[in-house]
Amino acid sequence: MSNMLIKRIRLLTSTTALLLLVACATAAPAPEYLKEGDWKTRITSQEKDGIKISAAVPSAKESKALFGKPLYKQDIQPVWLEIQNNKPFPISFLPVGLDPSYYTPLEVANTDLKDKNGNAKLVDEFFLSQGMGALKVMPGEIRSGFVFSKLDEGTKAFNVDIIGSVRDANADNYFETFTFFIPVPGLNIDHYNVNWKELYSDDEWVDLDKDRLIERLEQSPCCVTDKKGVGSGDPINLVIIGKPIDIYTAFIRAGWDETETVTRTSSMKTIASFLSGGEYRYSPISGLYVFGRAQDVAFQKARDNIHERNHLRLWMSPARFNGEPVFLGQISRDIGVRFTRKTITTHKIDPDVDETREYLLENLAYSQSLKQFAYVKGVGEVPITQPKGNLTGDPWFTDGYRIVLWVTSEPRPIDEIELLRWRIPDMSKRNK
Amino acid sequence: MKHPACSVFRLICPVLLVLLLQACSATPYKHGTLENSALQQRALLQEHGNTRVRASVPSADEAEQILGIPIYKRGIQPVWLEITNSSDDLARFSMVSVDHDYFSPLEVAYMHKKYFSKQGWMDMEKYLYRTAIPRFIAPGQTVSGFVYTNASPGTKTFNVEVFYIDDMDSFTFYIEVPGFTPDHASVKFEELYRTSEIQDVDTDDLRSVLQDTPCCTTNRDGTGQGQPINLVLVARGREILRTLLRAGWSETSYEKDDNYLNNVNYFFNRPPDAVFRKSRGKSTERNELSLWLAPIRTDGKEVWFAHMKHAIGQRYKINEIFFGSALDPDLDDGRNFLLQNLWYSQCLEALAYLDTGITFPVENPTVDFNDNPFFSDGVRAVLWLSGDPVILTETRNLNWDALLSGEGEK
Repeated sequence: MSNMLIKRIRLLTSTTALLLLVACATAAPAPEYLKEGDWKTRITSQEKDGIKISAAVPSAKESKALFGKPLYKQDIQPVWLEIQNNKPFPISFLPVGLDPSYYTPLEVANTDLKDKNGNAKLVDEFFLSQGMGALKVMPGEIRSGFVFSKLDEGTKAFNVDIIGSVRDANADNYFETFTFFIPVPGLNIDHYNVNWKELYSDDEWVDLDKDRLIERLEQSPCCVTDKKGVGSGDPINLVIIGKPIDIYTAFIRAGWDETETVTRTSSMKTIASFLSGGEYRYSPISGLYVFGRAQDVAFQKARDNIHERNHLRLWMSPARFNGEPVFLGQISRDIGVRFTRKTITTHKIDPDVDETREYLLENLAYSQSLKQFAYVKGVGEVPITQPKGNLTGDPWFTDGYRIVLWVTSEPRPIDEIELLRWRIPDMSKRNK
Repeated sequence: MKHPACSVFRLICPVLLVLLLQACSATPYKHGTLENSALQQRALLQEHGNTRVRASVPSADEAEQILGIPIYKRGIQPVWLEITNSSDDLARFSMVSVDHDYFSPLEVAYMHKKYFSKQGWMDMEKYLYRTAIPRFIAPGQTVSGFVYTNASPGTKTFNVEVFYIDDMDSFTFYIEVPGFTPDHASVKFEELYRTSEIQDVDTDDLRSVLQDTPCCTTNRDGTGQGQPINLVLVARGREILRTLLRAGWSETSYEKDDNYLNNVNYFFNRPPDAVFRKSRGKSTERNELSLWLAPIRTDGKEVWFAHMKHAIGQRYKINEIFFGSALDPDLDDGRNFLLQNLWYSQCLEALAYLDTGITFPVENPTVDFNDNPFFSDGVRAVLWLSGDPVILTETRNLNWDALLSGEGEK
C-alpha cells in the first residue's frame, strides 16, 4: 500500500471505516462443495518473510458445537488464527485490522447475560482461554486462538495486520498485511453453481479491439428482459472487464455480499426476515434476463443499520478485451419495499440509476478494486421528465451511458486509477 | 367488565387513524429556503490546490425548516457543501468521501413519502433532487447542495475529496451542530489548575511523574475502590478532540445530576471532564471513554488520564450510571482497543508502556464500588496523539516498559 494512499485516507470514522483488504487475493472462489463438519480441515496458511499466518473460519454449526452458543445468530463469527513468528524481534497482531469493532471473549461469553441482581461473575475462563490472549508474539513463538468478528457469511474476507517494534527509534516499524478470502460453508452461493468454462463454446468467443468493443457495447440491448425475452426492464448500465476471480475479489473487498440461490432454506430465510424486519444479507434476488438467461452472479450491499441496499447483476458475454471476459451488468439502489400485483412485494428502486452507477465507481475506487474506467453509450437518454418503467413498473431515468469498469485483484491506489476518454457524458446536466 | 368508553374508543380509533392517514396523504409539500440562511452564513471555509470548499451542517430544526421533512428522525443528517473548481479541468466531487453509506436524494424523498399527497411527494422529489450537490464541477464553476449522511451526535466530522484528472484535493471538516452541547463545553479547563500547580516536564521526566499518579479512580466521596487508569493521552490543544472524532468517537452530553455523580468514576477528586462514546449499533455494545485533564504538560502538550468502559451485556442494577449494562472485566482489552483504534485512525505519533506494578489478577477479580468485577496487568499505555495523519509504520514505540514479561525491552 503506497504511503501516498495512506496519507490520503485522512479520516476513518465508524460510519466511513472501510475494510481495506490491501494484499492480493490468494484463495480461489469456493469449490462446488464445501465440506462442513471439521473446520480444521479448511485451515489455510500464508507465509511471508519469516511470519506464517494460518486461518480458518468455523461455520454456524461448527461454531455452535465449539462454543455451545449460536454465535452466528448473535451476529458473531469466530475466526481462528495461528501466528508463527520466526523473526528475531517480537511482533504484534492488531485485531482492529481484522475487524474494527471486534468482540472481546468476555463480551461473547456474556451475550445472553440478563443479570437481575447485578452480581454476575462475568469472567468466563473458557472464553478467555479461546481468545488470542496477548497481542504480542515473541521470536520463535506460535500463538493461536479465536478473534470474534462481525458475521460475514458466504466469503469471509479479512486482513491480518502484523506490526513489529524495531528497536531503532529512527527506523520505520516492520508492518505486513496478510489478506484472506475464506469461503464459509452454510450458504448456497449463486456463483458456486456457475461453470464459467461451459457458458460458451470456443467458437462463440470473440476477441475485440477497443473500437469493436465500444461498437459492440453500444449495440447491446438497452435493458434486461423477463424470462420469455420480452419486456424492457432496468437499463444495462454497467460493463465489467475482468476474470471471474478478479470480479469476486474486487466486490468482496469493496464490502459486497454474495447472493444465495433459491432453495427451500433460502426462501424460508427470506420470509423470516420479511416478517421479523430482520436482515438477510444474502437473500436470493429475482432473475432478470440478458442473453436469454438470468444473471450469472449477483452481489448486494446493505447499510449496517437499515434495509435499503444496492443490487448488482452480472452476465458474462462471449467477448474478450485484452484476453479478459466482458460482463454486462445492471445496478440499482433499493429505496424501499412496495406491493405489486405481479410479485406481491418488490423493491422500489431509485429512479436516478446514474447516481447508483456513480456510487459503484466510487465504492470500487475507494476499496482499491479498480484499475481504470470509461463510459460508452448504449442505453439511450431517458430524461427525468419522461421516465421509463422497469418490469415491475418502477420509473427510471438516465443520461444513457454505461460505465465500463476494469476490476482488479491486486489493490490499486485511488490516485493510480485511469480514466479512458472513450465517451464523455455531459454531467453538467445533472440535478437540473 | 369493560368500561363502555373502551368499546367506543376501540370503534373510533380505526376511524381516527384512517382520517389521520388521509390528512397526511392530502398534505402538500412545503419547503423553506437556503438563500441567506444561517446555515450558509456560518459555513466553514477551506481552500487549497484548485479547490475551495464551504461546509455547514443544519440542526434538526433547521433541516426540517429548509427541507420540509423531519429528516433527523430517520437517522439522516444533511451536510451542505459549496465547492469551487478553479482549475481548467472538469472536477469530480466524491460523495463517498463524506459518507460511505450516504443516502441518495430520491431515496430520502421515498422515506418521507407517507407525509404527503402524491403531488406533494413528487414536489419533494424535485426539490431534494435539485438541492442535492452534483458530483461534477465544470472548470471555473461553483456548485452547492446537500449530501445526505448518517446522523452522528455532536461535532460532525467528515472528509471532502475532489478529484481532477491527475490530482486530488482532500479536506477534513469538524463542524459544531447547533442544538447539541457536549459535556466538555461546560468545563472551564483554564480554571482547573493554578499555573503553579502545573508541572512542565520533558518526555523522560513524564515517565516518573506518571509513575507517581494514583492508580485508580474512586467514587464521589473518594472512599470506594474504582478502576485502574490504564490510558494516558498526550495532545496539543484541540487535537485531543479532533483525534477522537477522527477515530470515530462521539461527544456526549450527560446531565451532571446527583444520580450521575454518585455513580461515575472520579479522578483528581472530580467527575470526568469529557466523556466520549463509540457504539457498534446495538445499545448494549458500546465503549465509553472518560477523560481528565492532568496538571502536567510535556513539550507544550496537555496530558489527559483516560478510563475505558466497554459495555458487554445487560445488567439490571439501580443507580448505575451505565444503567442496564455489564462492563467487560478485561480492562487490558479496553486499553489495547483504544491504542489500535487511534493507531488505525492515523492519530498515533508515539506510544509507550508504563508498568505501574499494581496488578489486579484475573484469577481473583477485584470488584469496584459499582459491583463491576475487573482485572488488569497494571500496564498503562501512554499515547502521543497527532493532528496530522501518521502512517501506521511511522508510529514510534518509546520502549519504556514491556507489555509482556520476559520481552527484554526494558
